Amino acid sequence: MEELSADNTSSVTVSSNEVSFDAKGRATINNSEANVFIRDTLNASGAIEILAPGRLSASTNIALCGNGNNGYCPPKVA
Amino acid sequence: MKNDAPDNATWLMSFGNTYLRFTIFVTEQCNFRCTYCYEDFKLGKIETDVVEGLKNLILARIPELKVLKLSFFGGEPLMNKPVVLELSRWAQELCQQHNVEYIGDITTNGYALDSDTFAALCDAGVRSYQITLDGEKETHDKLRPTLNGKPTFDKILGNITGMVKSKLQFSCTIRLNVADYNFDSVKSLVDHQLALFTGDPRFAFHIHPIFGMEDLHLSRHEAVEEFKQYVSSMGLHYHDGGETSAEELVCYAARADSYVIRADGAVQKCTVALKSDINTIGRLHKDGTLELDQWKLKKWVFAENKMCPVLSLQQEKLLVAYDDAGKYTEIQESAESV
Repeated sequence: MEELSADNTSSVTVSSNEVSFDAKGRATINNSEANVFIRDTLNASGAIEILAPGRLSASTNIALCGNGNNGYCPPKVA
Repeated sequence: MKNDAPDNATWLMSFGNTYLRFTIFVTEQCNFRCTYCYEDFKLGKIETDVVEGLKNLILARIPELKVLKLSFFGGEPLMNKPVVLELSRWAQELCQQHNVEYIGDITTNGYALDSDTFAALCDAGVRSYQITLDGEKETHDKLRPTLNGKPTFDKILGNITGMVKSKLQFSCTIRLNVADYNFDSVKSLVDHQLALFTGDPRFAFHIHPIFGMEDLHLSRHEAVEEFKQYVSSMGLHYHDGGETSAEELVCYAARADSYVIRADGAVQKCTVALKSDINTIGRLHKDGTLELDQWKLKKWVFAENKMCPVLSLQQEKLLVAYDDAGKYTEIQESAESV
């Protein structure tokens, strides 16, 4: 299982042709629901910490993942 | 497409389906005829089926939401006050039931914002306001008269003063639209009359150049930054636009979770390019379903300039911004007093 983005520089790639919007106005990525996780930059032990979605701060890093086996998997939990 | 600007996270979060914002044209009629306005006032109050469609859509989405934001817009939204109050009360109650944060905001000219209306709006969950003053009385009244040509400054300032005196919790951005024509008057307004806001964290200022009018041009755009610093030096608050500093960097029109609902049920992304075909991305049906043009919608969401997608789309020659500014602003002296 690989993350869409494994660095800690807030660099995440998502392209227009992967995204579509359903009849409820919800974004899907490759036909799978997009889950967005906010995570801190690397914590003291070097592991990635996942925080609940919410307000962002300047140091916030982020991973964009889809459900299902479409190549996008949830980020690793510290 | 790689997005590694500082605002990348805010933009990406908008794909998460936990935040949802609707900017609602509750009426497209207005009791003002601001000289630089770009709206054509052809539609009336929001149709009943559109309100029902909006409620059905919110009901379908509420289980997964963490934040619901309704932005009441127009026209002058307080010309359809019953719908603003009813819809906001309904949304506030629904959000309480589902443990969802509700944010209600309104862009109003402030003319009908008397103390009773203000209290009722706050009670209904509308706690964020944007009101415009375009200089001291004489200048403002020339730029922002009523539909039948009457002055508006005194009444607006009186209503704002009422807000200052209230003990209610709210936030209010005083928007100042500027051109060379009124820049000194705006500065003078801040100096001489708006000092009463000093130290009140509920109030902030926002300065914005007027676009699309040859005779209302701002030749020195750096003047906006200078004004911002001037306001701060006076101990007043300055507001760049969004709820948070991160939101200021991504326009609602570039977010994947933000839709504009016109009074006739047309769905758009931007509240400026109202007549541009690229802006009409779909339709809201009575059952709450959205019929969306994926290509058009993605032109906004994936625009290069996420602070102002209009600029990107203009470069692509997909729209011309502000080409209607000042076209429909004729004073109608025979109109009823407002």
